[in-house]
Amino acid sequence: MIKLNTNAQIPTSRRNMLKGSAIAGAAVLTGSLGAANQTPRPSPMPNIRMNGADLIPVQQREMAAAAPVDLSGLERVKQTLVRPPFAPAHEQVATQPPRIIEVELVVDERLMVVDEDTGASIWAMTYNGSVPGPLIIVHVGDYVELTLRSRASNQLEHNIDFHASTGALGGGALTHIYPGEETVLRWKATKPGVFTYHCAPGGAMIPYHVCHGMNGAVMVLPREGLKDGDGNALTYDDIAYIGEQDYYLPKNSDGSFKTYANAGDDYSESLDAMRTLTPTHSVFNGAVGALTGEKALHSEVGKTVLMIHNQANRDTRPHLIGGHGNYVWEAGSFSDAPQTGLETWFIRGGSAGAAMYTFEQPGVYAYVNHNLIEAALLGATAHFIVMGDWNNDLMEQVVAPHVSET
Amino acid sequence: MKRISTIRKTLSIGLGIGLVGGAIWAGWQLLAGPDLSLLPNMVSVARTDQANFYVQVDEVTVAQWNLCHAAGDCDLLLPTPNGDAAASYPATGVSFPDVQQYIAWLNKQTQHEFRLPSTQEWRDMAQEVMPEIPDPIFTDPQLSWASAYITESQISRRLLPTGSYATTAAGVRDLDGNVWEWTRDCYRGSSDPETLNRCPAFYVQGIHESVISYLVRDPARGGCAVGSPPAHLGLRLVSDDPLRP
Repeated sequence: MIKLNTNAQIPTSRRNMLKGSAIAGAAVLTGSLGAANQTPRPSPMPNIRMNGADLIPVQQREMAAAAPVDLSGLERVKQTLVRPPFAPAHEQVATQPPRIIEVELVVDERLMVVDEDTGASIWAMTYNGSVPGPLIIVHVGDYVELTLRSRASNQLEHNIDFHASTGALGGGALTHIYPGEETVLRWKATKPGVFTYHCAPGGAMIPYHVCHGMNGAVMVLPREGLKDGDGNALTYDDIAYIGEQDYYLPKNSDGSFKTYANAGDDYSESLDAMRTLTPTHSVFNGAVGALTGEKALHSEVGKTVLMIHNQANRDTRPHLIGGHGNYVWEAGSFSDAPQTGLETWFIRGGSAGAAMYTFEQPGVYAYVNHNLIEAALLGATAHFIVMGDWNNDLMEQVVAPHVSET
Repeated sequence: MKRISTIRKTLSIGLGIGLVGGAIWAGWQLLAGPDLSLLPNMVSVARTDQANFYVQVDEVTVAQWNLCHAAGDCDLLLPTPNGDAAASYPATGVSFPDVQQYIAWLNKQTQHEFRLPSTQEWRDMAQEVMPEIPDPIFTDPQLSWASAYITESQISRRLLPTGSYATTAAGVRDLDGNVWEWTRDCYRGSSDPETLNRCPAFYVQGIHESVISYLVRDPARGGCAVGSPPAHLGLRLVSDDPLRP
């Protein structure tokens, strides 16, 4: 840090210093890697221009000229966010007029184990310490008032882009914060559906942060709740909130995964791994096995679960092995009638989708990304353990396996 | 023409040297006898209804395995976790055929008869350090396919150095660790063993019994597989005879 600063301009503020060191640090890493390999590839320098930051002055001018909005008549409610795969307490049908829902996200860069078996780990960038970030639930017409805070121990700049919001790069342009800072953003929920949110600091930093776990989902329910194609109400007993995360972890020459001392130390090598577009891991809720075994999801025959699947970066295709998607909002919009009776549904990278199912048989169900290579080898598997009585009408083993005559 | 004969002469000289060299190597092998430095640490263990047998104190290590690879008799070269010493970690990520290569090489080099244990022998050596078997989560016979699903929190799946777990009274280590060990017992479902000339899957033993297809090196979690598959696959050898001094 000291050496880099002597080559750069004397920092006039902590913000400038952080920016300068990030740029110089990236250059140093790229240079030393090229030398070590003896075959420097002509890969372009990562673009770490802060797109959002450039827009701040324009945004501020427009905002200064805008008519003020009076929300003083609205009730304020604090929503306590909870760790995935769980959902915050909420009403399915709104019983109150539109409100201001206050939520807090704390940016926390932390070393997380991705796969215990191999010891693979990552300096994850998280909202509230989890991958994915917590699920936020509001109704159409509500306002989300977010306090975004970055721990002083963090290394990097962060912000947030809500796909459910309107304007200023989804709020990304108005929420750039540095370690130890906080900001407050309010946006109105106008579109019903499930939507991704993610960090988007600019340039190559956007996929770098998103592929380090910095994403999550917002559910904006219609005020009257969910409906089928005929307008009949659809309700659920539980929400299973699943964030699928593709990781691109740099490897040593013997195939083992590299480890790093600090968040950001893997920047250059991560970008090289990301350029392959081939993830080393694709996992649910941050790590291999995060939703299996003792951490499996639980339900009962006759209960209805709403499975919310978020993938901020890469296409995926959830499938419930042994069950179905009774009602599926594949692209996430609750303005559209749900599709019915699906076997597998498609979640586009950069979106969230929702599927509703009522369990009819007890047992164990695997919820997978039905690219089965990703499910079995890269980690994209969750399990539901469902209690209840077996229904022989739906399925029965007529003859158990035995020695065949032929 | 001259050039061809020169080549031929060179070839025959080379062949001659090769033959002589081979004979010397074979003779040296006979004279040198077994390579006793390769003998693993073994302890005597009591066995159900039979005489004592002899069990490797530790699972075969990465260093031991890679000697077989260096000799050209094991196809698989194993990496060492975290770049630590190969001698201090168990060899994992090995399939049943891989294990057979290792045993054939070790028996050839040591002129001793090592083999995999049977499931009963493994239970005999491990019983005292095994955790309690959790109750099945489903008792309905229709759900027997799902009843082995384990939801109790068990041990970490992170691979640890040799000797990190319990030691039995007889002196066998790590039986309750997170490396599952291949046994020689075939799993054939309801088939009569005599009707099959190849075995599709074998029992592996660890803190819960499991059945693994013979080709599997890494019982990856997930997919359609129900239950908690072993974290790592390794091996520990046994013998019916004590080691020669």
